[in-house]
Amino acid sequence: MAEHTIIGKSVRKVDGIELVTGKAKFTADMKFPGMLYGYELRAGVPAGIIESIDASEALKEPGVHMVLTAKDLLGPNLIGVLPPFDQPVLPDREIRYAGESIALVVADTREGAKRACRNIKAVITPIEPILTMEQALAEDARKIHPQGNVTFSRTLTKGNVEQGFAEADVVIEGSYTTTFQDHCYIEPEIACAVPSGDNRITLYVSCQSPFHIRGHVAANLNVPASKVKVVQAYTGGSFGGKDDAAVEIGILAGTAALKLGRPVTIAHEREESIAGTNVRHAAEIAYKTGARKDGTITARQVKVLLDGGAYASESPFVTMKAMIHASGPYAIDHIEVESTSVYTNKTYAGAFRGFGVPQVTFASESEIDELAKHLGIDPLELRRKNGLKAGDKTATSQVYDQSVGYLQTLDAVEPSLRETGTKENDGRYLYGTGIASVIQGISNGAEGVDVVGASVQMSQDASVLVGCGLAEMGQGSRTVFSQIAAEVLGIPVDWVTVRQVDTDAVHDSGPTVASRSTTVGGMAVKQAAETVRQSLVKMASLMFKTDESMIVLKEGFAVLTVDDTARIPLRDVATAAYWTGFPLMHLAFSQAEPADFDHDTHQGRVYIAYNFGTHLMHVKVDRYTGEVEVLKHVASHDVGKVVNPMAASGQVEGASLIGFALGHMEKVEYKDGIIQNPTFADYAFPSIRDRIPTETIFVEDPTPHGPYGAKGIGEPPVAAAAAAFANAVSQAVGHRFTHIPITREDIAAVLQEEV
Amino acid sequence: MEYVQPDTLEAAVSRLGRGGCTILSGGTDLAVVNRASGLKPECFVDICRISQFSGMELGEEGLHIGPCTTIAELAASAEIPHCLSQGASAIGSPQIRNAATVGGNICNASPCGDTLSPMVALSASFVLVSPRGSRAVDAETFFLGPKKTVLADDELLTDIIIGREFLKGTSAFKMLGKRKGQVISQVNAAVWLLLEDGVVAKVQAAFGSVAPVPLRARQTEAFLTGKELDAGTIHESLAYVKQDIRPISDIRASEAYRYRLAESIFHDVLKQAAGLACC
Repeated sequence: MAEHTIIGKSVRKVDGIELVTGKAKFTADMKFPGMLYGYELRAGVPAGIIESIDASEALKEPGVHMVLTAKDLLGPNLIGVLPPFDQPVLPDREIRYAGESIALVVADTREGAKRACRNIKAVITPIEPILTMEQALAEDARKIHPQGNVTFSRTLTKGNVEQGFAEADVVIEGSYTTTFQDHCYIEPEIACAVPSGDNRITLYVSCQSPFHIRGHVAANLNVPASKVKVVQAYTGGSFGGKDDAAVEIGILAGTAALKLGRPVTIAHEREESIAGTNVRHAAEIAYKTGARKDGTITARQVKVLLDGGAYASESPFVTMKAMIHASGPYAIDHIEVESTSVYTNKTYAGAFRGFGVPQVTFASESEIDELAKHLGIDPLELRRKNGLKAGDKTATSQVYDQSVGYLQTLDAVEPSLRETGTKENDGRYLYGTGIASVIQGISNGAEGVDVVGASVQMSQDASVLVGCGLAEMGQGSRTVFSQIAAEVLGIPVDWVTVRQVDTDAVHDSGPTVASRSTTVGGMAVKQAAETVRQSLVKMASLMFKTDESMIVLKEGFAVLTVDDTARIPLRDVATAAYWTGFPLMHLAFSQAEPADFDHDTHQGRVYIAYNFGTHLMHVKVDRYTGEVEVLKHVASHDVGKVVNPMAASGQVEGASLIGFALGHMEKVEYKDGIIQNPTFADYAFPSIRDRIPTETIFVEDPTPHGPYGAKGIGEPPVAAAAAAFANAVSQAVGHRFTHIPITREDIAAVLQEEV
Repeated sequence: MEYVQPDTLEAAVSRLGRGGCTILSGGTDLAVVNRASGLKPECFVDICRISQFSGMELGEEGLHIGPCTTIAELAASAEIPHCLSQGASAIGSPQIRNAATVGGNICNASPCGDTLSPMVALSASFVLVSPRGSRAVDAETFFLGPKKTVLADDELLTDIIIGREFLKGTSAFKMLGKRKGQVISQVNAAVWLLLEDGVVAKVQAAFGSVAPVPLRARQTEAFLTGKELDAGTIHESLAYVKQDIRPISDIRASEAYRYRLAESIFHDVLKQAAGLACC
């Protein structure tokens, strides 16, 4: 393999300095002359009919400029991810969840707008809410949407599970549940709409899918998309949460800004972020697994129910993703997975780092441990026996002849199995070890086309500007794109700038999701840079009066292969190329190989690659209080190729903490359809002190579909960390927990012994 | 809305006497409550400019702690009983501790306030001043319920006194919440202990988040007094803890879990105060 100078190096985050010094301007830092503030009035009841909304008193308050309700909107008042869309920006009649916005007040100050909300008289006739999936699926259930309460339902069929169970010596069954989880980014959702004299509107917004927002905002403002410019401001985390919500507030701010001719900002408070915008689906999952005595898994049958709340959002794709991943990273001949998402009168569920995979992985990996116990086989050996290898058929019968590094991730964590450290034991502490594996599809795959456009533009001084429609939201895409451009062009990383996403200036690259930035986005940057490189090499060959094959670009110079001292500064080459008329800018497209599968059985080609991983946790449980200390956490992932070890480890650590919190701490608590803990005082989002000691071990089994062989890493650790935690705690306590989060209180309830 | 920052106690009391006042001392809770309620009080009286209200001083009666002493100062202090600095350390984040004050924590009277159980365990005395004069109230009788105290509308906490007796002995505090940092107590407990030759000469304990007000654990104290403090005694004392507290179930913890936590936390603080190895 070729030696790389920048790929594979721990380059510091290129936007790190401006972020830690506070120089980076977030949307909330932006002030425009005459700017107004919007605040949304929320329904307060989980289901109801709006009889009337009287804003006359609110409008009399000083500083209040406007109150918007459904009838004031300019477009179809419809948003969503997949047509036919089912979500109004503001409902005109039916309320489907308590946190739903029903009006927007625009005032001189945010406080004034908030106060005025209290003086809007909304007459709402409550309807008996549907709060559980069981209620929603009852035959005589009221329909939350005209088509019924099933949002989306599909079945994956591989082989014949009946035959598989007949071949089994043992068959075990289990039921598992998970709860809603909020994204908890430090920066809540925010959008600022600024109208301009040329009949355009600019939206500064914290988001992850700028072009998706542009499309919805334009449609709902009833203007052509080219009249809307979306600028992705620095984004303080997103994790899947700043798509639907950014669309909603983008449209509301845009509508008010157009009507008033003044800039309007809408900034959510934490309570609004938790209660008003999408969360991770809660799930009820039933597993049946058959195996031979030697541990060979012969069949898995799974039924997944996902509570999607009031609107579809990403539910269809989450339903698919859960289905495809439910059988785990194992080669199993007979699989049947029925996956269904359901409408209820709760805050809608949508995209959240992991996207349906954490829920099924927790259930699947719990069941694998139970099977191991049943068969008397070591849990790691059982996984090794069934683990996918290159050439095996996945759940969709897709075969990869490379980049299936699952077994290597088992090998990587194995030495840590027995490193349990010293165990204090005065009878107070219980110790346990758990492992869990994950498979996670990279790229949009079965969720639709996957195209990224990226431009690379070199200036005459050889500095480079990269433009790509994918959003930097903390995951490090700017750094990775800088590294790739620098590697291809033979320049230092700090000569590269990756520009802010501005829909006027970069190509639509689809949503920044599915761990696809490095894989698909990186490929586009690489291709664009390679085309620019051709101009430079051609120019340098003319300047050296030699063949192009004799030229390398490195360290900011064009250098002769045969004489390292024969160098021309790249800025001279770039300047000469410009004057000679060789293009120094290129827009390249990377398209992931499209999915191709049977839509009844879901057999076929689904993802360009999978990330495989195995996590191990050693835990210490305080039997008095249920407190859990994670003594060791080893996370191994096959990422194809590590582009930046520091950034990739950071992704593993962050995603693992979200997984740990899903497994142990976080839950959105409802009472009668109202969220009881919409603040960080009561929602147990981890603090920095709750960090777990993640050690990352990368496996590199390159994929031909990513730059330098790289596969995404943003999402997969969430699922593995949650599942490994559940297995470790279950082992320590000697009790199989079938629900996450497994809180201290849950553990203490099982350990009834006296102090 | 009026905002005043009096420099003297007299000026503060005089403004309080005219009514409509909300006292501001750090504001870390008040700001949040006010934002949520949207209410605008007539006047905020910010008392933190009054110099005698900040800092600690040893006097004849004991240790005087000014109500505007920050939680961060208490957390860092080696002069005060350990349980009080531990309680202060448990509050919020560094930013919150730098702004929040001990008087604010006390007068806010949240049942889960982490300086409250130490104040009760240490039998702190609170000096309250109004245009009508001055009075001293024991910490234990100061709290009437969640966010309710004996303070009249025109009355101000001006001094907190930890008696000399309680500057001797040892003490400890512990709390647990749903996470490790920036968290509200599901249960907290403070214990102050005077051992003579391994025998409990005097003990005072108090719990937070287990009733509408911080509670003294009188039955537990009675059981322990005069006993040799060994593992067996500590274990036996836990049965009395259950009788001393009356927790409820809410969003932060169930009643059953609070009982369990109270026992466990008491076990730990008692051992810690006694200098016995634990946890």
